[in-house]
Amino acid sequence: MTDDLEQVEILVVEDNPNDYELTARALKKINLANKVYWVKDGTEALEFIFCTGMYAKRSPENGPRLILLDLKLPKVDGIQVLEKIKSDPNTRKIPVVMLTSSQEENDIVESYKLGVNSYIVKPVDFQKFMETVSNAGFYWMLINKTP
Amino acid sequence: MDTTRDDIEGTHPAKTDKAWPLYVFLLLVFSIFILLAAHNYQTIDRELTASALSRRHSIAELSAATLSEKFDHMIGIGIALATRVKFRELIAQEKWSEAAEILRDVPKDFPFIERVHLTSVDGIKMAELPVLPAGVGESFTHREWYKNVSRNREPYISPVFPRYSPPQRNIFAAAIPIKDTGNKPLGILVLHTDLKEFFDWAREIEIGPGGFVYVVDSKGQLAFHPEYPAQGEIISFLEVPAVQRVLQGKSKVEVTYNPIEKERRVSAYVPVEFGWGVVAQQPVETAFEFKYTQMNRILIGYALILLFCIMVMWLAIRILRHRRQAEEDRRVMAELERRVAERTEQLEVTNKELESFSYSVSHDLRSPLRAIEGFTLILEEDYGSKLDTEGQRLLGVVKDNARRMSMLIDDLLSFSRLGRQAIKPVDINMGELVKEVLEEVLSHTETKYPELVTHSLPNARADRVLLRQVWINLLSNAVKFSSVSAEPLVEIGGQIEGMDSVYYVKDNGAGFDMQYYDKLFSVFQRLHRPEDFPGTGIGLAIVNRVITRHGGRVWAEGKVNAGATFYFTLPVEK
Repeated sequence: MTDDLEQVEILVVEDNPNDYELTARALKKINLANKVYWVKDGTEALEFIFCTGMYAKRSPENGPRLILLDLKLPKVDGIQVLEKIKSDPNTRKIPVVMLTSSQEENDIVESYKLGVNSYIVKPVDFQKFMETVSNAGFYWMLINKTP
Repeated sequence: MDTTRDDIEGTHPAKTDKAWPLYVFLLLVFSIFILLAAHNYQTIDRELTASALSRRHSIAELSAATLSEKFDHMIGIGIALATRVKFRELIAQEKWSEAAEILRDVPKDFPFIERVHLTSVDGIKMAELPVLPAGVGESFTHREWYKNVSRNREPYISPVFPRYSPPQRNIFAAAIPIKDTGNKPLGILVLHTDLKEFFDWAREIEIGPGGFVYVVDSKGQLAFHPEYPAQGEIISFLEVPAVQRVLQGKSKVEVTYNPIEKERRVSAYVPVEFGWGVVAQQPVETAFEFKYTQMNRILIGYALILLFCIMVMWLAIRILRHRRQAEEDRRVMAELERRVAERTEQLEVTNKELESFSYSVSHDLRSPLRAIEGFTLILEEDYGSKLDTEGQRLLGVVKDNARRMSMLIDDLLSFSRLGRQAIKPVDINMGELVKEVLEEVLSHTETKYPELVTHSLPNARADRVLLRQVWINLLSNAVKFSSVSAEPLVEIGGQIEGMDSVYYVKDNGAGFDMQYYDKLFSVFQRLHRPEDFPGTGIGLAIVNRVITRHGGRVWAEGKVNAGATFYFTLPVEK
């Protein structure tokens, strides 16, 4: 957990605590764990990203630099969150990686239409899951530096 | 479903009933045609009859005119002789023989005048030509001509009578009164007419087959008849209706019964002066022969037209029936198709619901499964060292089962996706596709390689991705199950049979028990134990699903430890 005002590198939007824990463990393995912030639904994610509501005091300057977004979320779903992020010029440049159990073609197509940067289907195989999340985090955080 | 057929059949009678206005119309047209034809026939019959009759009447009239002219001619001759000045003077002086001498050449000049008599005013024969030994003095007061001339003092033509004095024969007489200049009667000039000579002309008249003209005198006796001799007994035709009527002065043509000839005759009769009459007669058959021929021709014509009409009508009705039947069939077909489509749609909706259900179920199953697997792994990583061998084994069991369930879910997902994916048909070279799939399948094969027999395959039009999956499933099965055989063999073939291309994959492996055939193509149904042959039991279900969606069929034959053959069909593109 990080303080509101602290620099946040990665925002994980995930309603399933188990999945979050697995994600966090994967990120921890590549030493990114202390820069991760976790929100549990779409509304909270939007408030965090746009610094509104309970995150009004937070400064957009403090990231996030990467968003791992689950597709199926309570309240506002992942596709809607993605749409909001990609339609705002201030947040459009933040890389978004869809992280979901869905293999539904429609979801993938829709996400890419909305400008998702990457799309990861969570594998059941934990080993693979760890690799996938680590790779995504590593790639976006360390190689694909945003201006 | 069993009521469907009845519903459709039930509407049949109502449809057929609609034909009656057509039949009434046809009947009406037909009746009108027959009525017109009958009327026409009657008119033509009447006209032809009238024409035949009027022709005969004309002949009778012409004959009557001829006879009348002959009479006038004879009377003319008589008057010319009787008014000779010298002749009259001699008669006045009662010099009969001298007077007769003047007329000496008359029978010679006029062949039909056979004899000439001169009688006194009292009817006594005073002289004759040619002179005969019997001589004069005979009284003729009983004769028709005498009575008539002495009464009317006008020339007269007598009926036919047999002459007493020789040569005895049947004659008729033209009697002309001889008068002086003061119109005082002096005697009578009698010209005996030879019937044969006189009626020569009548013999020449042409009426037609069996027809002729005959002449009767004022007593109804035959003066001329081509079938009776002029001499011999004088024959009366008074019984004949035509003769009776002509003696009454009537002129007409009609079909009457001739009691003498005992047959019906067409008789045209015209009266002539001095009570005589001419009858032109012909048997009905010959008189109307032309008419009969014509009428027969018309009848044949009508019959042909009628036949033609009936044929046309028959054809028309047949064509109509066919068309109505076809229409009916089309309607029934359309109705059936509609019902099938309706039901298919219902089934598709149900299917879709089932598929989306299985999709979301498997989707939602993935996340707890991931948790099980993930946390087991974490447990193993973080606390593995604290577990003994049994604990490690138990963890392994959890992991294995989680992995197996994951496979099942993946298969279920891909199976449910099959149902929802749109089919994109393309032309497929089956031989190439099979070759490609075989290479892929064999590259993953860890068991014994089978011997491959590949026959030529008919090409198909289908979704390439889906069909590729079909071949993958069938061929990997064949390779997998044949591996137990000492000499594994996989045979692939196909041919076009009617409207379908039939393909098969045959192996000599484990086979299956036909008793469990029903389970063969069902989802997650397996006929073998997983430790013998790995797999989830989705492969054949996918094959079945894909082929069914392409409009084909899937079936199999097998025997335990004697191999199996899997068949599938694809409709041949027209």
